[in-house]
Amino acid sequence: MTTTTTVRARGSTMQWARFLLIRLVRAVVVMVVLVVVTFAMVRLVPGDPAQRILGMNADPVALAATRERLGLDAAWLTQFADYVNGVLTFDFGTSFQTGETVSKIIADRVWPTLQAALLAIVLVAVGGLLVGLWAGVVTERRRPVTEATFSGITGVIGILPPYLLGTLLVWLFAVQLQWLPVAGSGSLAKAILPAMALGLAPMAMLARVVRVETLTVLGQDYMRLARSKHLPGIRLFTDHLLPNVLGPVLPILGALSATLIGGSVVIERVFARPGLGEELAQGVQVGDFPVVQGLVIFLGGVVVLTSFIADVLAAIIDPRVRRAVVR
Amino acid sequence: MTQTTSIALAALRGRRSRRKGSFATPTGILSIVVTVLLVLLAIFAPVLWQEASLEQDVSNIFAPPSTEHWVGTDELGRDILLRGLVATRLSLVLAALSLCIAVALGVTLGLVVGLARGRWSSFGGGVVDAWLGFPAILLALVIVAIVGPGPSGAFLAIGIAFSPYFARMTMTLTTSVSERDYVAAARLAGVPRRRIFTRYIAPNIGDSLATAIFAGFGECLVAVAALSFLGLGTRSPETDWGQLLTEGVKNIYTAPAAAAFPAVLIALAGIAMALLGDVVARALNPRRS
Repeated sequence: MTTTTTVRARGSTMQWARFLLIRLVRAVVVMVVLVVVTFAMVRLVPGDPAQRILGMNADPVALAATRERLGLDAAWLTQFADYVNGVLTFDFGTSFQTGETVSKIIADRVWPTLQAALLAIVLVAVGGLLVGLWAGVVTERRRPVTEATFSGITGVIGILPPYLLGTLLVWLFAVQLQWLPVAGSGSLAKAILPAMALGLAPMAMLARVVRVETLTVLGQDYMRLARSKHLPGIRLFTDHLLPNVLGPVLPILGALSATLIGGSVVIERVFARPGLGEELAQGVQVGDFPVVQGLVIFLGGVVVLTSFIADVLAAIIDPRVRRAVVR
Repeated sequence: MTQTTSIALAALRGRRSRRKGSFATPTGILSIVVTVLLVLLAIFAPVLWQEASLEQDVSNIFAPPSTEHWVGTDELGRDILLRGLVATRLSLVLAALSLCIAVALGVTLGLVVGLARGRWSSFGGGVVDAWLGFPAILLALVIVAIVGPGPSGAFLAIGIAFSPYFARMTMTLTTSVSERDYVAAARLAGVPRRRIFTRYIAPNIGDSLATAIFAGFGECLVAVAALSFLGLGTRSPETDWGQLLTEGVKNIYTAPAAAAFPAVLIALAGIAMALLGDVVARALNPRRS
């Protein structure tokens, strides 16, 4: 008995080690690709990148200086070594527009993006669960109209991209009803609409999944048994329904970081929030390459890190995830 | 290829009796009507209203919706309804171009990885999965930074950024079909690889791919509009919906309808295409419904 237990424990440790290794390698590989792609980006610009920044009638001396700042005058390998060194020390150079270092820009502008994203995560997790559970309990006994309304509304909201939802929310809450402020950042009130724009679509999708899971759980034998024992409603909920519904929620929350970062690039323009996404969009527009490189690596790194954490969490809760990866 | 088409047609003909009425659901009819309307607008709106949509009326700027201007006027007194309708063509064309790139790249990649066996296949699958977990807009922005802002940069960027979705889909479909018994039987019978592909694999992944392509059109349209909204796609004097949305959002307090109208157009087109994808799926594969 004891031997089998230790063998199983050792097997599970091995499995964990392999799981973490596989996931870690994947994260590192994505980061390496990201660094190579952003490095190649400037070199792939058709014509002269310096000309893109300075315009057609730029002075040759200024062009040469810009080329030097982009590191385009050195040998190819030296350039890459410098670039990697810069990335590792979080030094992406300085912006061509403002002259500020890119790391300072990131530090200054990370909060408006983070604030809206965190609020959106809360909205998705809490809202999606509550709405899904409610819809599941309500539609347990056949109610075609409620069911159709629910799937219609969540379907439409789930399809809408954040920037369209954002525009419609601004129109509704700020212009028509004048309940909430729109532009800028700072107070929590100003983050509510951006968070809703970012989070409503994933929330709707999550609510759909949770509803289906709830219906499945409600149909299980253990639920029928618990009900026949006249278990109080609240215990029924906390002991049986909630733990079993939570399973499918985590993978969706894991993929959320990519959705939120992708959405915030466009959403910040709608709400005039001075965040990282807006800075990136402007950098791309004027060809401010150090800013684009720094922000793509930073935002990409956040996505890689959060999805790694979400993977590990999912594997802790559900061992099947771990086994599927290792096998 | 002609063989594939004839097989597909034969299959369609054979299924017709069972398929009867599968387009006739309310959502099916609605999405088809909206799509046809949009295509008609894309063809005829610029011909009919190009001039009128550019007509400026400086004495009548930011006018609220009225019987004369159904959605009001913009900062130069141009009619927003007409501008929105004329912009349909460019919006749909850019979406179609980016979809073509995404499908061409993605399906090719998916077939190469899906038809490969063993180590290469799982390696390719891992690459595509990692790529999928990455926000598409970041990749699109890197491509725009390389090519430079503009319509061609925008559709190229969205096309490349969306290709892994089609790659993943093609890969999964190809792998599952090539594991079926009839493919194994054909392989054992010595049917050449090319023929196995055209005769057995292509027809069986076709309907699911067609569904994904229809749904992908809406996604491409929305994404290209997002780039235009950021000022990285279409630029005036040419207009698409994304660009109209930028102008509208800038003045959302003075003329809210100017922001809401292009937003509604983009949303409407995106939703109609997504629904059409479902309808096509049901029509091509009655078992699923």
